[in-house]
Order: sequence, then structure tokens, then C-alpha cells
Amino acid sequence: MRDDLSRLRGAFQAPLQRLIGQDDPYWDGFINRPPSDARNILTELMKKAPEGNVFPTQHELHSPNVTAKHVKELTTYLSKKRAVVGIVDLSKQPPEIARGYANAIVSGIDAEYDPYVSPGVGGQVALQAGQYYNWIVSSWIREMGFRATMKIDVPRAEREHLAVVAGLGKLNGDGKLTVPRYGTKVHIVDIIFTDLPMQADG
Amino acid sequence: MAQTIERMNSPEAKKPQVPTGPAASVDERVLARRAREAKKAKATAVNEADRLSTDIGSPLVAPDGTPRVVPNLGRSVTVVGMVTNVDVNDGPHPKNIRGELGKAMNHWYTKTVAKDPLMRATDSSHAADKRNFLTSHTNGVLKGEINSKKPEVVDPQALSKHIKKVALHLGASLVGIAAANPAFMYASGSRYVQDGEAEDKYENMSPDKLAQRFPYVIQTTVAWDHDTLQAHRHHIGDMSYHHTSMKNAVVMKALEGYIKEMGYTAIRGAVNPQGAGLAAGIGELGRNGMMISERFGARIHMPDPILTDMPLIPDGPVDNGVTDFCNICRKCASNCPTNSISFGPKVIYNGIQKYKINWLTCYKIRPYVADHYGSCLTCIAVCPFTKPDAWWRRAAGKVLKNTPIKARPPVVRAMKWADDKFWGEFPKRRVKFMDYDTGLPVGAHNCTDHECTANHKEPQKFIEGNDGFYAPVKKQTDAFVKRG
Repeated sequence: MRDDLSRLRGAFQAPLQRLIGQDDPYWDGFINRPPSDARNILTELMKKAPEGNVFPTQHELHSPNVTAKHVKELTTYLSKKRAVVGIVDLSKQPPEIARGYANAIVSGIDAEYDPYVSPGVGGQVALQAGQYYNWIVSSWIREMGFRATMKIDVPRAEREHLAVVAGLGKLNGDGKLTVPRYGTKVHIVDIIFTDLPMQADG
Repeated sequence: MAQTIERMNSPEAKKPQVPTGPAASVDERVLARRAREAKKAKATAVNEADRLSTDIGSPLVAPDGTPRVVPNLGRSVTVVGMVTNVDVNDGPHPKNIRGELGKAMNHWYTKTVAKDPLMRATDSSHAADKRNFLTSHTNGVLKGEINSKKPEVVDPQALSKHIKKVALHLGASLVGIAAANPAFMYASGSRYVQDGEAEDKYENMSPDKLAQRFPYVIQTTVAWDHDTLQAHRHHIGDMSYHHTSMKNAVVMKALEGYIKEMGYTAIRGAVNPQGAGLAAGIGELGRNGMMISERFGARIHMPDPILTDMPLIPDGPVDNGVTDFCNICRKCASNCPTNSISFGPKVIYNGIQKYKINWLTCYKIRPYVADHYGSCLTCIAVCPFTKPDAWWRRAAGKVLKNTPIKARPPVVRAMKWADDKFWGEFPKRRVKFMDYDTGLPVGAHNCTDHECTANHKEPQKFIEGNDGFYAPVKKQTDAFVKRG
């Protein structure tokens, strides 16, 4: 019922917001105009920012089911309840996907504008929001003494494959990822590869 | 060098001054609206400014003779005399880094690493590796060039509406525009920079020239989560505070980049955030020294604002009844663990009439409680304005706002009574977040999760009830804070 209501709200919200945007002569440039200088774009700055070291001693952990719950709670909290999160056990994935890590934290966020096709500052907002909360989550894991990185460049198809494995949604007839809460208007943000022991979703 | 606003007694200055410089570009309608609001409020800074500018010997002028306009900061803060521009290096953190607050404080700030992993990831001064702290990267100056192509049609009204919409789209909770005024600029040559790389050609401009060159200030804020903030004096509250601070830095940095992409200059670190926030109508200054907004109460940050030459229409200050409430309430003062908040009336400090806290006692508690929390936040959490953004909260705000000023005291007393009754005179709610639980006694680290099957060093502890423990209690701080 809750998912149905969310879908209904999503169906009305997007056209309404677009309608509001029509009286703004600068909105299209905000969403679609590529930056004249990429150094003015925060998402580019974040992509190049180096990650910190892993803390030398490991923090005392809870059981994997509770750790997974905490990771999801933190991600949801930082995204203001916008993110959908799942955990993938990478030991069941091919080595080229696992890349030597034990688990992957896969999350998606509502994307009114698809960052892959909207190069403007506004078009990159979903990417920016994902970078923000993923940075804090991956830093927190490193500070607990476990490896974690969001800097591995994962192709879109592979991200969406991992999202399906994590149980976030399904691929529809057109091959597009569809999640119950946001439909196809979802952006799978950078994957966090980690060794933090967690219970995987299915 | 600090710039000083001085009253000039020369015959020329005694004549009523026609505003020139930054305020001259303020839209006439905005000025008219401000004047109407001021007349209605009977005691706003606009009235004060009018009175000052017509009184003999009252016009404010800069040391070089440039006439200055008294900024309209609303009812909570009034400019009543000489204002010395604040040097950003006189703030608590810079003083502490220089060792002016003592060895213990300096050691705590510059040399300690937090024991808690979430604190290490979200608090720059206690991180093990600063690269894990997001704002270390976002505070870097955007090195991009300003786009040479400005919009074809420049409509200040549409641009103002657009920039506000952009800020909200980027993640801000509130956004306002103020007319730049030299009174709320930092002293010339001092800039608020965390990476030390903000040098630009405007750095040594005087506040007056800076306000003329860049007539508008954009201020945004991101609201803290209400539920986790209830765990004040705890790592959970720290999380609420620190993460929105980082989020605000991200929003402002993205907005700064976008303004450059639109072909305009955006300067950071030159404007006092609270002055800009007041003038932009984000909120009013409360007894606790915090900005209090209509929607979110005191649970908002005032980040480093953007000073720009983009043509915009400034907003005016707001009257949400904060002054009337703070006159009566005093809840923050009675809950403050260090007695840093005054029970008395407003004071005049640096030519500004406002509530002033004792920042030194507030700041000095931190090393003693570092194992339990980083930032106290009690005055923010207990403030009756700090409530969830729900319909009943908005309705109460509207009632207070629309009550005539003279009739507000009884309304405030009724609201204060209701707040004490339902939220408690000394709120200490139990809050759970991840593996943190304020229901555990201070200093205990037991697991309280029923689902956990791990073999912990400390035994699991399941505690019933809704009351939380908060460190320190007053008797602990009595040791080093003298109470009135």
C-alpha cells in the first residue's frame, strides 16, 4: 500500500515540478548545459578527491545482520530517507565484479533528471547526493578498521546488475532498472566495495 | 585591519543621508515593504535606522567618509552604534589553534583523535586521517574560470527566483538573499578559509568596497534531523550536527560553482553568516545566540555565505516572534550545563543590541566531555522553536507571528507552558541510532540490540523506559564553571 502511494505521488510530482520549472527561463540551462569549466562542478571535485587510510585497529563489531542494519540506517539517514540500500555478497559474484572485496553496498536515489543524460549542475544532483552520503558511509567503515572504497569506476550496466542482485528492483522489458519506490527514475550511485562483514540481501 | 563605523559630527553628516552604494540598488518595492513591516512592528531596525539618519549627529559613516546605511537585521538584533568589523581570526577555533585558550584546550583541538569511528569520519579536528572527512575536500576552492557567457536576458526578479529554486534543488532547506552591507563583512584582509587557498584579487578590499563591488549575499541552510538532535550532549546529536554541516558545505560549494557557470563572481569567506542570515530573512537571533527560523527553529546551520555580483532582489528580515519568546522563555539558559546563556535582557556589544552568550565557558567544556560528545547542542535541542516541521508546529508559529506585538506575552506564556508540559522542562529523551543508545548510563558501551548474536567484551544490556542519560550533569560542570 505504501509503495503504491509512493508510486502515485511520484507520478504526479515529476510533471508538476516540471510545470513549475517552465516559468523559469534559466532552468533548462541549469539542468542541461554542460559546464564551461569542469573545475566549477562539485561532482568532478569529489571524483578526484583522495580517500583516507583505514584506521589501524578494528572496531568491535555486532553480528553481520546488525552491522548490515546499521549500514542501511546510516545511509538512509544521511540521504534524508531518499536512498534505497542493499548488500551484495561478492563471494557469489565473478572475480571481475568482486574485485577482491567481500561485500558491496549498493544504493539508489530518486533522480528526477538522469545524471547520464543531463550534464548541467542541476542534472548531476542525484550523483552529488549519492557522493555525499556514500563518502561518509565509506569513511566510517574505514575508520572502523575495514577496507572500503567508492572510487572504483563501475559501468552502469554492472551497477544495475548489482542493484538487482541486492534486491532493490528488477530490470523491465526495456532493460531499465525499476525499483518499487521510484520506478525508473532512480540513479544507482557509486558502489561501495568493502570487507566489512555484513549479511547480504537477496 | 579592522574597519570601524564611526558617527561623524560634521555638518554634512548631520543632514539626512540619501542611501548610496549597495543599498541604492535595493528594489523600491522591497524598501517600501520593509518600511510597512517596520511601521507595523513599531520597533524594527528600519525605524531605528530612520531615526538615526534624521537625528542630529546620528548618520553612520565609514572612516573614509563614505555614508553607510544601517542594516535592517529585524527585531532581534539592532545596530545602535559603532560597529567594528570582526576579524575572522578572533573566533574561538583560531584563538585555540594559536594556543591563546591554554595548553589543555589547544591539545584537545589540535592533537586528539576521537575514540568513536563515526566522530573520526565526521569531525575534522578529531579525525585520524583528514582525507576521510568530506569537507576537507569540498572546502577546497573551486579553481574553475568564470564563464564568459552570461545569460542573454538578465532579469533580477527571475534570477532571484531561479537561484532560490536552484539552492533548494541542490539540497538546501531554506534560502535567502540579503543586500550586502559593510557592517556584516569581516575586517579587510581576513577571510574565513579552511584550506588557506582562497587568495584572490578581492582579498584585501575594504568592507565598503567589497559591498559596493558585490552587492548581494546568498545564504542557505540545511535543517538538522529533529529526532537525532534530541540526543543532545551525545554522539547521536553530534551526528545530526556534523552531517548537516557537511551537507551545507556541499550545497554552498555546488551553488558557488553554478554562479560561476552563469558568468558571475562568487566570493566566499568574506561575510559574517549570522548577519547575512538575519538580513536575508532566514531567521532571528535567539537568547541562545543561535539563528531561529520559522520552520525549523534553532536546528539550522549558518554556513559561510556567497557574496556575488549577480543582479538579484534582496529579501528583508523576518519577525517570527523570537524576541518576544526569548524575553519570557529562558529555557535554554536554565538547561545550559555551563551557565553560558544569560537570563538577563539584551546587551549592547560592539554597537549591536542583542542577546550575547559567554562563548568561552561554552567552548571550554569540550575537552572534559570529549569521550561522550563533541558539541553540546542542549540550547538548540530544548528551544521551544526546535520542533519537527509538522502542521501543528507551523500552526503555532503562524499564531505567534500574526499576533500583534503587544499581545504576544500572554500567547508566549501559554506556548511555553505547553512546551514544558509535553516536551519537559529539562528534556532528556531516550534516542537510539545505529549502535548508540542514550538509555545507557554515561560511559557504558554495552550492546542493546536484541537481534545481535555477537560475543561482545561487555555483556549485552536491555534497558526499558524512555529516559536518556546525558553527560555532564550540572554538578560535574560546577567544578569549573561558576554559577550565578
